[in-house]
Amino acid sequence: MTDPTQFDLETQDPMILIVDDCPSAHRLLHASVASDSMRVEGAMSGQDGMIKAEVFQPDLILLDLNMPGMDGFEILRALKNNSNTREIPVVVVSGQRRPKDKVRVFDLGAVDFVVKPFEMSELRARIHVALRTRLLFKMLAQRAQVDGLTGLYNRAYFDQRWREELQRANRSGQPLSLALIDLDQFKGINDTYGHSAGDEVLTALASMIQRTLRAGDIACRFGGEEFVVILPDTTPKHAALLCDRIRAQCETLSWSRHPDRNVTLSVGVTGAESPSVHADEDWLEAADRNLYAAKAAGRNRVETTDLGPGPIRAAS
Amino acid sequence: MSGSEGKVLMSTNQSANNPTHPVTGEPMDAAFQDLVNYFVGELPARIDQLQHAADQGDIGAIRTLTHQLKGCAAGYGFAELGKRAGVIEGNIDRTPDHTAEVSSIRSEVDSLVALCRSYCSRG
Repeated sequence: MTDPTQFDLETQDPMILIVDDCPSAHRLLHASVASDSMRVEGAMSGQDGMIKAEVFQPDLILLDLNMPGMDGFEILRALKNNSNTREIPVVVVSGQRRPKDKVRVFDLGAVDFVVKPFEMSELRARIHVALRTRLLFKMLAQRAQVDGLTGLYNRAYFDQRWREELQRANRSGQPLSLALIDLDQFKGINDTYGHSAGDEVLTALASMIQRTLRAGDIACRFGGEEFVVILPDTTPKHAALLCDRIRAQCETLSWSRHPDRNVTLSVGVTGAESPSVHADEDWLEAADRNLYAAKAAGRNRVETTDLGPGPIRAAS
Repeated sequence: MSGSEGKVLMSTNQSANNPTHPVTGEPMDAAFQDLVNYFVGELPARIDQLQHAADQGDIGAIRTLTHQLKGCAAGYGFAELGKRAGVIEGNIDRTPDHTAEVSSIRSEVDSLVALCRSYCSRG
């Protein structure tokens, strides 16, 4: 199950990629970080370094400048022009001492410059600073995507991720479904029992949705008492079954602040076997229409639309 | 050098219990001792490469080799070696497009090779 509340920031030792054409420099750099529980990969050329940066996605790159073939400046430029490697911090470790070289590597995106020969303790300290900064950036980036109350992904993340999943489904031709989930008569809970009771309902519901979904499904808080779930590789028929399980689970939850007041939810589902024939806006509009249809039909139900191979039509 | 580096070499304390660096004379832990042994073990190959490059008039190869030595030798505790390599690299770099004649730096290269040999012979 996808769980944004369990972000995986520090579960593995950080990985350092050393890009240097000199074996003795590798050995020394490796020794500099060996006592710090870091994983180390090495590349003896710029080309090899580019490949390994993409494959291993290291937490930090130690980069020499003066190398035959692709030199450090070219590598740095290529790393920063590649969306897969752009965010990896690069510390240049070089015997080049000219200020114009240092300025150039900072302009190209390096985070630090260590002059060879270096003191191991100083290099280690600079590596720690770069890794700490990298970790803070990652935490900030992830926090910016998470809803503070429920721990689910937020609307901004949904907007970005939905576009990506739609593009992926368009390319692969795999089915895709989308569900809008809305608590029934939530305003009444807030008005009668207070906002803290309402927050408790939202948090418990978010947790239940997460538990019920499968690995690869993506749950987000859409806003207020509304949630949205992206269901990759899922036909609308299967999405309807999954959402009905969520609906039924909600009925079984007990509420300490209002034991006599049950909480239900309505769901609008839309999906397609072959997403490529449908415009982006069709999906949310169809899901929204179904959600209102579920409300109009008495709430506590799931309404589904199969976008099908042509015009939107209702699923049986 | 200095010459002082050569002197220290001759009196280095290499007892197993108290290993000291062959140049600086400072105590070494096991990890650093491994590094130093590795570096000294690599020196014969560097000597061959430097001499070959000098004999062939390959100024680019000399620059690469001295640049690498300049960068790493001091890290292994061989500061004088790194400094001398840096002087050769600097002399090459001062010529337009790095087109120095080998003859103009030959004596410096020979001196560097001799220094490397003195470290090797110690082992």
